Amino acid sequence: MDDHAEIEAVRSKIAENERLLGKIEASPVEIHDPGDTESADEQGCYVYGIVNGDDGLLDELSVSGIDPGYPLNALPYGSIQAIVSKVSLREFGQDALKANLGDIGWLAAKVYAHQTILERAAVGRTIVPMRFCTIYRSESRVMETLAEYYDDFEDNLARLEGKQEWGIKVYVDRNVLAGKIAEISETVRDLEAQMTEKSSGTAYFLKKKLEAATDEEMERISGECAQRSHDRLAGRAVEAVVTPLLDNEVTGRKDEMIFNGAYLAAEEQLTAFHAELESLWDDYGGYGFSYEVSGPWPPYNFVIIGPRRIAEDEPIGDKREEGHAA
Amino acid sequence: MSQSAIKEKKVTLLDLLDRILDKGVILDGEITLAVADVDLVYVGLKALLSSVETAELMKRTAVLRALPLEP
Repeated sequence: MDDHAEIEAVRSKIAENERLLGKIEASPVEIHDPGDTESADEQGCYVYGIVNGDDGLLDELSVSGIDPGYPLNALPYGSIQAIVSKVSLREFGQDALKANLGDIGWLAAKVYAHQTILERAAVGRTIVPMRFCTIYRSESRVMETLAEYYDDFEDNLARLEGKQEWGIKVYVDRNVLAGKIAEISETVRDLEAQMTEKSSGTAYFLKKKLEAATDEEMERISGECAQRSHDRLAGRAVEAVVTPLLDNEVTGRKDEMIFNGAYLAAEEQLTAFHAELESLWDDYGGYGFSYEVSGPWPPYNFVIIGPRRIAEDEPIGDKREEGHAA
Repeated sequence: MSQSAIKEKKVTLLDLLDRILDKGVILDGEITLAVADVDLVYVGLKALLSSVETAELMKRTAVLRALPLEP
């Protein structure tokens, strides 16, 4: 299917999704009958994350897998264990998955299930979270992977112990900022002063110049706010990454996202981290900037495996790249 | 901005998607989300959000944003 056909397919599901969206709120996990007929080659092994030891983890979780037909399971290897469950490849196979991802109702229920399982597993425990839908053909393939990356998993578990990920998104209300721009920008103030002094002919050109200068200054100040917010928060955290911006079509907000960052904070840093955030609000809140906080998260953005740094640092202010769907 | 407002935890579907779709990538499983698949999710979200009138959009966004993490 080409992009266009895919978009059409997604659109055709919207009515169905609306109904499902209503349903999810009441019942996050759909009941699905796996049937007794699924053979091993129709099953995959979904990996949620890696934790230390084998300490009765599954009794505590008391929650079904992402495919409710199958229970959670732990696969121990050395001093670590993978939290897994079987999934039906009729639902999670590569092609089925692609179709299901376009269904917001399915997607919401499954990301919710993935996160809930990780959250419960992470209570009082360090976890190396896996990306949504990391699926192997069999448990033995998972075991091979545990063996292959054993040192990396141990290193990450040690590094991430006692630390939490927090997400910070900064938005700007451009109308509020525009109203305050003369207060902040000398350039704009100068132009405004000139306008009051000059004749009407010159005033027209000055007005154009002022408009351009206002836009430019708003960009500059937004960039400064993003950079300073990141620097100050990063100073209160062990590690920090800048992640891509989401555009308004996705956030559904009027305010524009100007910064999206993730911070790994040790427990003893949390008070200072939150205090820094309050101080940023005090400094920037009055100019139309607002901060959206989420967390604590499993350290999705801070797992490092092998030579590859998975959570690549993005230049501040870059949007996610799109449109390269094959 | 009060301390309590900052600490208020509001996890939304968008927050979740922003994390678990293309982050926490550590290993390549035998079935994984390709970049194209992740893009498709965002295309789907945009389609969902843009297919409705403004009033309806606000409502829909509110649902997406308010999707509770705990039942």
